[in-house]
Amino acid sequence: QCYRDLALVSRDGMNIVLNKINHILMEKYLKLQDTCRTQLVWLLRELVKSGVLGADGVCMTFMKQIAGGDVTAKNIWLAENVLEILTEQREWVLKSSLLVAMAVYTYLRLLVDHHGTPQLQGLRQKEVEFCISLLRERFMDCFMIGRDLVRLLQNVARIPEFEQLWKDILHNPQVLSTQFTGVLQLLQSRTSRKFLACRLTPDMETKLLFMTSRVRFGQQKRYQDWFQRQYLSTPDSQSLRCDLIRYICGVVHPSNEVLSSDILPRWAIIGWLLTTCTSNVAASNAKLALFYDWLFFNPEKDSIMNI
Amino acid sequence: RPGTMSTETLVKDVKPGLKNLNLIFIVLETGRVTKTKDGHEVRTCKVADKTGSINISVWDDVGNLIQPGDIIRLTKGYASVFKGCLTLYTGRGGDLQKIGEFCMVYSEVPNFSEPNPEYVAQQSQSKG
Repeated sequence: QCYRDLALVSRDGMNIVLNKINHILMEKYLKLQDTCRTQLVWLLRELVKSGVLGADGVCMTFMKQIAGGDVTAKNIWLAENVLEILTEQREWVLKSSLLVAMAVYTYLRLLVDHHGTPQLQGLRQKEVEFCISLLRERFMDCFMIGRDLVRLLQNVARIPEFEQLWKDILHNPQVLSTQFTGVLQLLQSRTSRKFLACRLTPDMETKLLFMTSRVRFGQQKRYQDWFQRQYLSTPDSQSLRCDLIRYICGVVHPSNEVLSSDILPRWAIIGWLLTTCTSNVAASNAKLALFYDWLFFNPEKDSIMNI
Repeated sequence: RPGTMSTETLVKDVKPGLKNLNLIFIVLETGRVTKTKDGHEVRTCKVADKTGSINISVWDDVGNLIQPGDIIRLTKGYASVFKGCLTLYTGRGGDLQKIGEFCMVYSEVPNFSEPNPEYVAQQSQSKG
């Protein structure tokens, strides 16, 4: 009822509403109570169903709140509910190439965490079907992700549906799209910051950016301990290290002023992330994540700050 | 609040006997709880700003809620010497408000709560 009234009254295409929702999500999501979160998801569904322009942006803001390496109930709830909207409203999703790419990047990354219980396994299956269907139907939209798509696909290569997809990518790329010439084409394409950043929640970004811009080298121990205690303290959370490392490499490009100061250098943060990892698999994935841009560096197109 | 100018004191300027102190600091460590004779729980926390670190004693609930990394505004605090160490307290009508977390630069040295022989000699009383 309220939604219908709001939609009728709005003269700006719901712009103020959308901005407000994005703001609440980005600044306050962690502090919201469960009933509020439920209401926001409900509101998102209504916006999507009404085809409000800009609802795709809100979807992406919602996806950003789903934390990697976190299998607590609230986080899984959010992952499930957003996926449900995207699956239900598939036709709408297909209208936005960016949303297709972001959704695939998000759920391809998240599904790695979802294993071990029947509930998580069930969620994973839905995520697999969702990603596979978008990858096969809109491969060139997903291609936009660039080389990190290969990294994500490598992490799920043992899942049967992805095993099959890999065979096509490697031996029959034209089946996926006539414009796709093969995996090398994908590897030569640098992944945009917006994908690397979308897998960090606003709070993670705030804290990492603070560390790389304000904390002096030698003073970082406590901040590292606090960050670790909040985000990297469980076995499930080790997968987050890859996302953090890709973020540091690809998104955090300090100015010359910061580089020449005694502010905590990027290599020190990455060293910390690698040496405190408690899982061998996560550690080797993290090391690969570090070298991804270096392996395919093209001086003409790529930034030296990525390596 | 219009008309009110509350200037923040820096940790380095905290001296025994000062009252009505407003400080903003980040919590570095929270100590173990000890029980007082009248049944309250007290915790000593190490807090800091860019000028140095100091201990604060917090009572009961507040002590259980404070976490390392919290950025807190103390209003109407006071400072006193306890067992030879300069310590902050929340005074009557004052409180501790969490205003953020993590994003504050600090210096752990000097530690203004290190035992100070001058203070022991002064024998300051602490308000309960």
